[in-house]
Amino acid sequence: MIIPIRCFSCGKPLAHLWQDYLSHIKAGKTPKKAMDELGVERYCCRSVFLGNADLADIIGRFRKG
Amino acid sequence: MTDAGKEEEKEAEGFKMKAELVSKKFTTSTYLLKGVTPAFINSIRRAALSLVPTLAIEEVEFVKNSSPLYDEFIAHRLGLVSLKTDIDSYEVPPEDVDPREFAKYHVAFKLSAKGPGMVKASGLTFSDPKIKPIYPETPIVNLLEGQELEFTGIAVMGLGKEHSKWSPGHIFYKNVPELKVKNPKAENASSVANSCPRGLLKVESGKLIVDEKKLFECTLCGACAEAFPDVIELSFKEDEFLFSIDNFGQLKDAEIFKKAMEALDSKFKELSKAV
Ligand code: SF4
Ligand SMILES: [Zn+2]
Repeated sequence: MIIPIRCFSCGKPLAHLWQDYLSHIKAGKTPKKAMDELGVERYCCRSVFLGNADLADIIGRFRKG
Repeated sequence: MTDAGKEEEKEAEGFKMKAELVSKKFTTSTYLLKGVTPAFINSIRRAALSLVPTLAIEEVEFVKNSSPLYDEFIAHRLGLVSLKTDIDSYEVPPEDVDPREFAKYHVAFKLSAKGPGMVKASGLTFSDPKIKPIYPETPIVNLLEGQELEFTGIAVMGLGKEHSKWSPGHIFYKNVPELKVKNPKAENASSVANSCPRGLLKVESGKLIVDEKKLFECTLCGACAEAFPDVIELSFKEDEFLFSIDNFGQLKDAEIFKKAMEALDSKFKELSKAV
């Protein structure tokens, strides 16, 4: 949906790293390398990045509830 | 050395406790604590997680919201934004007091934005200029053409035991490994070296050695000693620990330590009065 502000499990703030993560991926880095460079170490935090699909902008075009 | 310095040293000898910063990677600092027990540092860890006060957004009132996300969704996201906390000017409100009543319990904020564009944490304006989001780039919600967002609210001092948004960091510790190579000339040296997933063991001019620089990266997983018990001897020190703080930014490491100990201290005092 949209990148969570923090890791679900450990509470580390993550959302501010999402754009950097995307630009690393665009530059052809593997997710492993991108996350290592951003200091996303624990696998709980890594799962937040790997599991996120940015859909908010698509959903935003429709009327809410 | 001054007299005061000598006194301090004498006292330190009595306790034999030592702390030193051994590494800092991104937001995580690791300290080597000597002369402590697991029960002791775990009580500090738990106090730091649940009893150290920080600021976090607690109430949000929406004026306009035509963004893709529901009000409560945005309020929840705002609550998780970590805020630089001025620990000397703010206090945790007592249970029966409305935090809005006194300036020392809360700080007000507001935001209004029109699409298109990303609403970021940097857009929040607080009534106290010392309070700021630690990561201003944090995305709150993306507004499309014609969408609007406007809200006001308060951030309140609180404790991690009530909600983890008030925790100052993620804190953990592990034992300090003791790794010995019993037989450095072993024939299978290279396969022993390869058995360590952290690359602690290496072969140098035909001898199997421990890479001392990496010693603290050992996770005590035991893979090396399990596969090659006649070559490797693995144990850990009883009274030394690697204590790590992944700081979420609200407070400095030293402030977290200090506040945690103050919290424990006041609990002990309360108990000793009650007994
Ligand atoms: S215990 Fe695990 S991490 Fe430590 S040296 Fe052995 S294999 Fe490596
Ligand atoms: Zn995590």
